[in-house]
Amino acid sequence: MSFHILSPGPQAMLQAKPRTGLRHFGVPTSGPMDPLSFALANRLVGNQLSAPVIEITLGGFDARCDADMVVAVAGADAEVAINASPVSRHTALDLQQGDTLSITYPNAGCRSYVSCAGGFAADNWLGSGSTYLPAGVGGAGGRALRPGDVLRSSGASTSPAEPCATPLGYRPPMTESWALRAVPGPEATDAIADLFFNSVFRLSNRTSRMGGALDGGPISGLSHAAMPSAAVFPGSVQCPPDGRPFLLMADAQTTGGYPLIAQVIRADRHLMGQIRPGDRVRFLRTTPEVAADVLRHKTALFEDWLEGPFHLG
Amino acid sequence: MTDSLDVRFVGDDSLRIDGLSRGRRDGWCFDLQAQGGWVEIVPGRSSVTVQFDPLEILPEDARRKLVSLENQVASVVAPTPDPITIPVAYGGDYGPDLDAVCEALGMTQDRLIDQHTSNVHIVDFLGFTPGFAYLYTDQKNEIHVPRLDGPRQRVSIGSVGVVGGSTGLYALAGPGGWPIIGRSPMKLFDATSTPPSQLASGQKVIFCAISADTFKDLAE
Repeated sequence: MSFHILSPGPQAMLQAKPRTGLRHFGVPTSGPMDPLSFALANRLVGNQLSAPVIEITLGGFDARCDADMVVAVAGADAEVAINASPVSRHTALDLQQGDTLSITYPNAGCRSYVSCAGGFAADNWLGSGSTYLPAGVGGAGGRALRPGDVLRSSGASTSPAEPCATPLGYRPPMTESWALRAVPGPEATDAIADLFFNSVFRLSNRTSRMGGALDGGPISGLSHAAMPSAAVFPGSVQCPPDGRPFLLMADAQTTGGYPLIAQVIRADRHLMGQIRPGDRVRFLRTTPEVAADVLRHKTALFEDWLEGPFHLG
Repeated sequence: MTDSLDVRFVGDDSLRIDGLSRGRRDGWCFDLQAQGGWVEIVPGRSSVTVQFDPLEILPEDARRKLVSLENQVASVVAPTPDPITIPVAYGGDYGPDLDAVCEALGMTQDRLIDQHTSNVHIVDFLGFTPGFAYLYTDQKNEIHVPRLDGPRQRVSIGSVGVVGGSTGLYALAGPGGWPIIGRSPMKLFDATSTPPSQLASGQKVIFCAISADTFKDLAE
């Protein structure tokens, strides 16, 4: 079976499981920006939850299939259609040979995930099929999808899945105003932390899979003294002397030297991938102990439906 | 547990030990690797950060596990292979911050380039992005400048940056916060090679100044 990309929209690429354990070589984690929607998309078509899927940023996506196939769409609140007839997100979709699947610019949220039964075939680099654009590795030739690209399923084409839909309670809500729980970072003084957690930000247009600048604040009062470069992660908030913090995401660099003033907790990192430039972002202060508890509860909740290993960030 | 070890949480799933000498940092990395169970072990300039899965070990237990190694960690000295030479075109379009760096330091361009090319640099650790190397020098080094006030959105592939007495090599294009003094045409990262990075911790490096024309010849 093959899937012909007619329009990838602003940016679409293959993402699979994260590339872990390699940050000391400068190799970022990559993987889906919203790992929860990624797992939900795979669940609908009966895949392993880490099978390669298409990550679509801000819609504008059209693709045609050349054989019958089962697909599903999760993630941003966008309109999904088969041959221009509306269909549901969070539902396994039976595509017939020649059908065109379309995903519009989202009403809310930023990224859509398209899974296919068997998983899309992706280039493996250092143990993962995830695309990492800066190094040109993984996915489909290490690059974003282009019109004319043809993706193939890596698994055997399966018979039409039994009707499958994500139960309503498991569909992550999309919004234009996000609250992320975070722990103050090692470089945050009490005053900096107070200022940061009381500020409302907007995600700027200077946003990529590496991270995004946060408009708001500014967070002033940080030392200009050179600090020694140290590890940063997806979810790290760094603040340079100009007072404009930036939030690091899936392709985050592995080390950095701007003050690390906050770290988004693991349980909430999946939300980062759905923040659209212009959306409001607030950070809610918590502690490592509370965060571990939140992670346990949130994971247990989704495990009931996902029934396999997945990660929230 | 002693009071001397500076351990701090980075969020709910990472812990950072600060204030480490180079040898002690490398010793920690070695022993943490041997201890096992950590998702990531990431060296920094004077730190080691470990990441763990809070579903498998609670944050406070992870902290105890980390600190339990304190009395056994020994310093490690990385081997330092013979130097390799990396050609660099300094200044102009290749080093857009060279003028500002020289001005901040009160050095002429010639003197700065002379010092940067006569010193032997050693790869301290890898990090940031694939192929990026942090280098230090034990020789006389006056090139101490802070990071840019805000990061550049795009630094060219091969760029040579300086911060706080260190040199950084950008093996890939992308955002970056180091003042850029030059650029090398040498390919420092190749995804199809094993290992993909030209440089490893401990590698000695000598920079040699080349002209813009030579840069273009070598880049072809």
